[in-house]
Amino acid sequence: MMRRAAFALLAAALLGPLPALAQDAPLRIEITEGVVRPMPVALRFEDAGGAGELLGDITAVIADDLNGTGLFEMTEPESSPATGFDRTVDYIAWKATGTEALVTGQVALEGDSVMLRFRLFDVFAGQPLGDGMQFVSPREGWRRAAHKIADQIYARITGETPYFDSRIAFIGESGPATERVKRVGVMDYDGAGVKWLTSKDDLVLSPRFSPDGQTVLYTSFASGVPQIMSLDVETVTSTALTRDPRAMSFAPRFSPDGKWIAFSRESSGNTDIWIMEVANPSFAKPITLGPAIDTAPSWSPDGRHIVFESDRSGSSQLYVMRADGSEPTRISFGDGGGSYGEPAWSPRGDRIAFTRQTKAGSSIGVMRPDGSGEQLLSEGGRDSGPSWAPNGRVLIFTRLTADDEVPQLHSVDITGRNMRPVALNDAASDPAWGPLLP
Amino acid sequence: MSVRRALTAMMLAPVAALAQPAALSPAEKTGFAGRVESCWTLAQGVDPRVTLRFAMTPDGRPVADSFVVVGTAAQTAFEAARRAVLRCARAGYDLPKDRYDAWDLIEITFTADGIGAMS
Repeated sequence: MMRRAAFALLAAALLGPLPALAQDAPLRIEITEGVVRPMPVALRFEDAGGAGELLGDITAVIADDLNGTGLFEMTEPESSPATGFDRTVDYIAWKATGTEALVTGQVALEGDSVMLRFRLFDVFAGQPLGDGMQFVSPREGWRRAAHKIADQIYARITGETPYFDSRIAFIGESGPATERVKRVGVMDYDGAGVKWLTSKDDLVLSPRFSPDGQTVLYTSFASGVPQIMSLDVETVTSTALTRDPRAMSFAPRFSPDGKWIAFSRESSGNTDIWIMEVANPSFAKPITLGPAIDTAPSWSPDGRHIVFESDRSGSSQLYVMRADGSEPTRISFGDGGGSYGEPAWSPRGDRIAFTRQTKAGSSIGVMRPDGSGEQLLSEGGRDSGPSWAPNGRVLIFTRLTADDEVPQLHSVDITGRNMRPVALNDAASDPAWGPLLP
Repeated sequence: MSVRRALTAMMLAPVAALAQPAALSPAEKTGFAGRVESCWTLAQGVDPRVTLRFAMTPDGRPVADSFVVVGTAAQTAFEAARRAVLRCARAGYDLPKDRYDAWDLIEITFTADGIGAMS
């Protein structure tokens, strides 16, 4: 190359730019297809002192997080190159195993604290992917620390914002269908660490996280008329936000700045969408009017628009309006009919998830905010209630099994791939994915 | 006069040499593209579009530190494409060594057009 570069320079000096251009033109190739397969990743964590069983537990959580995306597969090469956290990576030996990304790490238990370190390497580029990082957490918080490391690996390789260190609120269901007990629970995104927030005595529905993850709104039937409650996740105390015994209030959703709540209010047989100020919930006002049933509001991430469900056209369809209720525009139509409901605006702003009901069953899907690009992510089942992961790439939803009517939570990638059940022992419905934890 | 003739001779010789390197045949290009293609892992939902340029050694291996993006692209798209080129080059690409000048610099545009929408 040096010889060629010098020659090109000489030719340019003598002859002008034309021969130089011809000489330097690269071989141009276009590649339009690749392999949609998981990236082979090797995890090499070591005990840096007292880790014991935690070493395996933490490695397993990181592996499960990455495997669960469908984007990665953990590899165990037969002849694993000698590797250590403080050793230089033998890229040549790792290349020979086909591993594309290598994670080295250390786990140490010091008193009641767990220390985790990791480094990520791009094996074929022969260089680190970002700087090494260290996390220290209380011993009982080791799962969160493991999720944080998996989040870093995911973000650095895919370029997406992560979502593993997040929680999901849901309705846990137990008992026979005629006497179903429902209570609000929260769990880690992977189904671990379930914590129940309401008692079995009250019928509850539709939990929704605040943008900071510290509050869960839900609908309670405790007073006999559905009312909206605000629940502090840390202290597990609930406060009623609506109290009018003559009106049913339900389907609440926080605005992206956390200052407002949009909800449905039914009075005298008419359901409209209202908003109330979080700091002053007694101040509430309707933003839709008319005889139609308007419900299930969901804010755009910039807070300027709200998508909702309405039967004003004769069947349930999706509409987008400005946050003050003006300029409602229908966005769902659907080839072959069907009704649409339960819209959820993606935190990225580029898609709206929904439930579509037809004679064949109900499915979840996504469309652009203008209604174009509709894509069903499940078909022919009884799926409903999609909720977005904080990075807007994954959805969680309720799937009703055909035989015993037991609802289960499933997740799916926005492309429709990687459909999988959430590992949760309890029957569950109505999931709401919270924000990425700090 | 003699000076002008000498100058003319100097100018023509390199032009003739530049015109000589024979391009790769379509089959040779397709074979090379197919090798890289088999190593290009597409992450679901991630925009993979990138054009990258890199130098090759005469024995058919990419020069690891020569990769640059042509235009703009996501860093992750660049890294995925670079990994593809490097991963499939373990034994060197099967390119005609007598025409090294035709492939000593390679520019590959990666798109996902052939597999449908990716986002």
